[in-house]
Amino acid sequence: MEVIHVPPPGKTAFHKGRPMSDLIKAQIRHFKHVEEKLSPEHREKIPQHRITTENEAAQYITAMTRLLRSGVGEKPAKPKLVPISAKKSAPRTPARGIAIAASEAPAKPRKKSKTKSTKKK
Amino acid sequence: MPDPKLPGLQQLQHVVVLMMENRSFDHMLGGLKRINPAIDGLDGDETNPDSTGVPVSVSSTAEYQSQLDPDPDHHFPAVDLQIFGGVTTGQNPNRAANMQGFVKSYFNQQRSVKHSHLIMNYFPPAKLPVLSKLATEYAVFNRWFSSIPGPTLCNRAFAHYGTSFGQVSMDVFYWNKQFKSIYERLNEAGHSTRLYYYDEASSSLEVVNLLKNQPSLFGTFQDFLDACGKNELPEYSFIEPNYTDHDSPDGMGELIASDQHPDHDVRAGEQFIADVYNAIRNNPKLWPNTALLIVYDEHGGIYDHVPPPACTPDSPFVAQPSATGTPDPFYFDRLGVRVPAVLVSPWVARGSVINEVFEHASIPATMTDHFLGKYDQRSKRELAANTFLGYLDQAKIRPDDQCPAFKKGK
Repeated sequence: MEVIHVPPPGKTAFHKGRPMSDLIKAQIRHFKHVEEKLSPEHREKIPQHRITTENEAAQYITAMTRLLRSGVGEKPAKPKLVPISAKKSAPRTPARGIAIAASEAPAKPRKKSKTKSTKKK
Repeated sequence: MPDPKLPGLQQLQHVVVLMMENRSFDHMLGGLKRINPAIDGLDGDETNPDSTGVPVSVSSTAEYQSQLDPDPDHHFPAVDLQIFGGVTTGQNPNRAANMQGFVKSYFNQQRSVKHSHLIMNYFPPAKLPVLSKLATEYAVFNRWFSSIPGPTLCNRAFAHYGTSFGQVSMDVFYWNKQFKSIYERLNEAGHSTRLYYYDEASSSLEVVNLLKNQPSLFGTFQDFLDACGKNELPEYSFIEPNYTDHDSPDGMGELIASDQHPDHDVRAGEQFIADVYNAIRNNPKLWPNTALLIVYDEHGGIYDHVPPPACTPDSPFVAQPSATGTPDPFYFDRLGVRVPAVLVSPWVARGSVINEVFEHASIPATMTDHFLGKYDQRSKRELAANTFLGYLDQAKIRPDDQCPAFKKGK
């Protein structure tokens, strides 16, 4: 089967100054809702700039996401997570209702992204 | 419940769901009917009246960007108009869905008759080589509907929880502990799962419940690609595309939105879908045991010709008129507008067309059915939802040279 070529976005398609859609406005509202519940010292780390464009939204969302990913908003009794790296699944019969025991291995540290898939110059 | 002896199910170890943004079935895949009449797309003579009463035909002149600006309204009252053509229950208590209000609805936003006609545009298959090819080479769903005739967040909630807990809007909500997210269910049973957002600047739309309370559930799209490359993919992955054009948080350039939400360039989304597919397809240790579902959260206010059917009410939830913005309460007893959905696996018969009714509650329903089995603490809608892994029904895996391959242009 021949390889199918996928056209790239147009050269003028990127517009970080585009006004936020209702979707991004809602996402910001949700982050603000979470931010209001943070302690003052954590809120100090969040930029308080005007947010009207997609890129301005992205800057705020980056700061909030980094803070939340650090565990700041997490509830004390978090659910036990299974480290992905510990899973060695063999092909299995899809028998139902049998839970696989959770591993005690430590969670894999998060890696920093090195490459991006849809990058424009 | 699919036959567990199916070879494709016996091999299945991973399911990946990619949920895109705001495009209707006919807009993206309607043109495929000319290639395969079994696909319930467009004949070309479908119309909607405009605000002057003139019928406006569907047109294969959709552009990748610039036509759907402003973003077509897809909040509950607007979708009610789109589906019922402007007939209210006050006018006719037995009103029927006729899909005749899309042009009228779009006219309401700019008061431009000419511009309102653009809501009827659809893509010819050649303009969407990735989605069209996957739909025709694997399995396309003729009847996958959004869960609610409303906007993004309440619809996405159905994909995560099997319910929106009575919401029909974009408001902040807290989930009812009675119905856990699919991720919590899987984790508690010892299964691995991740939500992959594109990057920290795009992040997740599941902010208040999951990202805040369970940040370790999340990863970036690069983490997904790394997991594929290292054969460390979770059993269940949910992928969110890039929702904004933005500078890279690490200062490495500019990143274009790939969600296909109007008015983002649809080609960036095509490339993103190809990235997800290629990451699985190009790993011989992953491809035979992974199923990929590509689905859109809702129709984005764009025309589709199939009336959404009635469904099992999501009782006890009821959205009151103050929430729906219409004179009537909503009992979650009708699905939203139809969206594109494609199931990809080398175990799916080439050119499959699925006619069963699906909605986003089918996603947690399928994962629960496959990974957990009997599980009663679910919403009425999820318990009634069809599951989709039974379509991995071939006796033999498809040869590699018969599976499409994509190469991104620069």
